[in-house]
Amino acid sequence: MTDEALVARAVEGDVDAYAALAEQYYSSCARIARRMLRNDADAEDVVQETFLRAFRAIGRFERGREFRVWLFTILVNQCRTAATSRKRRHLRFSDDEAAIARAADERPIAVVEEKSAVSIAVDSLEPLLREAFVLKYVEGLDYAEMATITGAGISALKMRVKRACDALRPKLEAIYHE
Amino acid sequence: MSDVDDEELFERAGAALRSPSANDAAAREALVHAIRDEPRRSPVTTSRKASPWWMAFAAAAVAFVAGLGTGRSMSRPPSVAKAGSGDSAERRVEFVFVAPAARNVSLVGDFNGWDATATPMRRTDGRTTWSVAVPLAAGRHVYAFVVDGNDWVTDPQAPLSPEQWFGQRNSVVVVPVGDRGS
Amino acid sequence: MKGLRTVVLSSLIIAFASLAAGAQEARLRGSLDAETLANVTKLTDSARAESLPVDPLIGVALEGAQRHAPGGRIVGAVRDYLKALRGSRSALGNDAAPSEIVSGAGALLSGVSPDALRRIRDAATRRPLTVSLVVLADLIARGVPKDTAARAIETAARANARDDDYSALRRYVEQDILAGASPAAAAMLRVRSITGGPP
Repeated sequence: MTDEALVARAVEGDVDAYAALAEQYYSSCARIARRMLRNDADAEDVVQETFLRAFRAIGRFERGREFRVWLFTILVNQCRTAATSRKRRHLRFSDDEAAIARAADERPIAVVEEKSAVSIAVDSLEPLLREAFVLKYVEGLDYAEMATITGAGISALKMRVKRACDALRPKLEAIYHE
Repeated sequence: MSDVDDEELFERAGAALRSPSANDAAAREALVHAIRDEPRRSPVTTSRKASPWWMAFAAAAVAFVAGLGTGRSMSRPPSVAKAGSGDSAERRVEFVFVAPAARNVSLVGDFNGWDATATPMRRTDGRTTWSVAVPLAAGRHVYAFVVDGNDWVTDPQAPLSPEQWFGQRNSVVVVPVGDRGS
Repeated sequence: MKGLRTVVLSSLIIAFASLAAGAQEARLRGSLDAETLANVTKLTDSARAESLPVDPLIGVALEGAQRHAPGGRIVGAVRDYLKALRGSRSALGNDAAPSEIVSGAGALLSGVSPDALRRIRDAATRRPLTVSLVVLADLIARGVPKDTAARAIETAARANARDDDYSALRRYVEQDILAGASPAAAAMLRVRSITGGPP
């Protein structure tokens, strides 16, 4: 069943339809939350909270709006709230450097290790830059969608992505030996 | 490094971060349980208790979609017809309200003296939706729906009125001048 | 020929409006007790003398009657509304359209200051204010703090927002609030996405 059909049924109260949507979007929400909160347990809580809030609000979801964008808007707000209110371990900068250096020395890089190394690099970005990078390069959203989700203007978002890429470039080059 | 290589570098990083995590399965299952445990918006059985009658719309709405599935919105804000030819000061405005469990619904507002008998609404769309079209002068109007003769309710699709003269808000509709419909 | 047609149509419109006003006032007479009717009529007469919109006042009285409110409460409501209409016209200027004056009164009743209303009027330059002020009152009704809401509408007006933009802003903020966003944050973020404002 298409997203649109699932959403239409979920809007009318069909719990199974909503559960199917939740299954479908769980991974991408989890990915975003993990990068934004840098902590798997916190991310899981936030993702759960996001889907429950969306479920409570879905009766008023407007047809014609894209569900994914709406859902991510809720998620990003939840991540921002959680980031300011929860205690979490901070990755110290020197830990990042050491981890990247270790990753760069290994050969050939296994998928899991590549992902860890890239995660560490992305996690070291400032929150707004990280958010923009993840929405664009991990979730593949376009700038208009990103603007809706984050509330920022398109040119501001492009600037954030550029700054994120500038900060990541040397670290990614080290990881990929380029 | 060229721009293309640059872009590829970041796309590659993005792809790496998209590879699935092992942990998700348990969390997904927990989420689905939590969703099913949420209080239902639409009661499966009709209740003797005074639960808000509008909560029943969801259950009937599924039947509506299954039966008709016309792709038009079930509930929508008041829609203003385009101005006809000539300089009429009035425009025809259609009000739509979803209330499958109601026995009768009428429209009240500053245009009919808030008289609940003046503008009864008609069931449409497989009996879940009520509608009526009235001519309204251009400008701002306040209105509400009266359900089963007693319950005055606001339109969930419309702006709320700031005034609560008698303890309850109403809804607002602005009828534009000129040729624009809404 | 066109001139004559305009005159005829205008006469018809005026005649219709009088008929409608007459009908409303007949309704008032039928709905209110003598004392309440007398007090309300004094207030509507004042409004008429000051060239303020009378229909909303009659509307409030009729609403009160239909809701079976006590006469004193009805008169109090009409009096407060008249005061708000005066304040609105004072803030928006004598050339404000009746629907703008009425929406402005709503904003004042929501707690928006006359200064804030003036700033919105100045920001909107030549665009009509009715819808923007209706949306302002709605945002406040949904929990957006009044100063934040007024600033948001002023920002949108400065960015040349049209009626559709305000309507969309209202719907998105409503959904965001339902989804758990704080009303203030929802309003500020959504207006930025209209205006393409700073990060």
